[in-house]
Amino acid sequence: MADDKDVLRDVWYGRIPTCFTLNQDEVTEREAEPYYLLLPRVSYLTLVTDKVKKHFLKVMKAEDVEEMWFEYEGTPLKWHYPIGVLFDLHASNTILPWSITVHFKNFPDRDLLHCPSNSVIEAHFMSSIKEADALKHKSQVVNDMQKKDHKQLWMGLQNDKFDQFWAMNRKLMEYPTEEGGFRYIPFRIYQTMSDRPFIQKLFRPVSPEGSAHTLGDLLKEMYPAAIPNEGEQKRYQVVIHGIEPLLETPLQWLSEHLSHPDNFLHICVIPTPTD
Amino acid sequence: MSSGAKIMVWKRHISEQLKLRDRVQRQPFEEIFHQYNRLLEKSDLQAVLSERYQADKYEVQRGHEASSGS
Repeated sequence: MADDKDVLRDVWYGRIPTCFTLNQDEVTEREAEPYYLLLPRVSYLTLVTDKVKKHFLKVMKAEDVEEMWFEYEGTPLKWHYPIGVLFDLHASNTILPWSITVHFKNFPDRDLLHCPSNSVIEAHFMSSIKEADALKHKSQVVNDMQKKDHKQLWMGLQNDKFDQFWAMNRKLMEYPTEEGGFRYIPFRIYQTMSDRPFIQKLFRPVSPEGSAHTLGDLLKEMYPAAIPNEGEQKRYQVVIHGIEPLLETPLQWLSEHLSHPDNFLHICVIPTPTD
Repeated sequence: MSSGAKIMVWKRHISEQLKLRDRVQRQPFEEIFHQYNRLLEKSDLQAVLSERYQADKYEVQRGHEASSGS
């Protein structure tokens, strides 16, 4: 259906306006102008910021430069989460553009994974796809693919090629019609105020009675506080790709259309702004 | 029945919200970021050129001093 493909495209081409500024403590030879960039929501920070790095290296001495990392209002940003998830989770009610601070020293080893090269991002991305396929099809689809097919998924993401990526990814989105959906839905629920990085459990798209599970059903089971009681004010926003889907949205359709390229449905539960 | 009537409420909601999101987060910034980055490139080029100009001037001066000294 045509409008479903429009949804896939809108998800793929989502952008976040971002202003990068150099951390004040960095030693520079001359003043560094801020750098502005539209960041792809579905990609990874360290994959799309080559230009940011180049821009700030121009004003720095080589010996003052260690591994680059990013911070938003005191929070180190995890490059292994998709960019859209970082924004929705930490900054969705901020004034645009999103203001990120760039660091070249004091790498926070306790909070962040190192990212010495793009092959580390590729390995992380592919392991997510494999984990998702293990949940959806007991790994059958991803194992039937060839090495070059895996490469096509990664190159599609890296080079922002929607058609190249989806030519392969649609195989990962198929399921037997008689089952009405995947075996389990690959999802992760993120919350700001938690020691747990995210909630991830087994959840089927169809109930034992054969009815389709909705986003509301998932939350009722995983995060009941996210659903307002009758007559109560909404305490949380449930955000996927920067929007709030209705709770009656079928989970199987969400998994097929609003997952990230890593094949997971990343769901952010954030407190409703009070002002 | 028109095809539009068949679209479920939840699906139309998602399409509309995604369009609205792009109207707020993407479209207002595309052109201005592009223009800013062009300016940044120009000012970088200027910095490189003026450094080179300074270096040339220094070279010329040294050349003069060397020839007048001999």
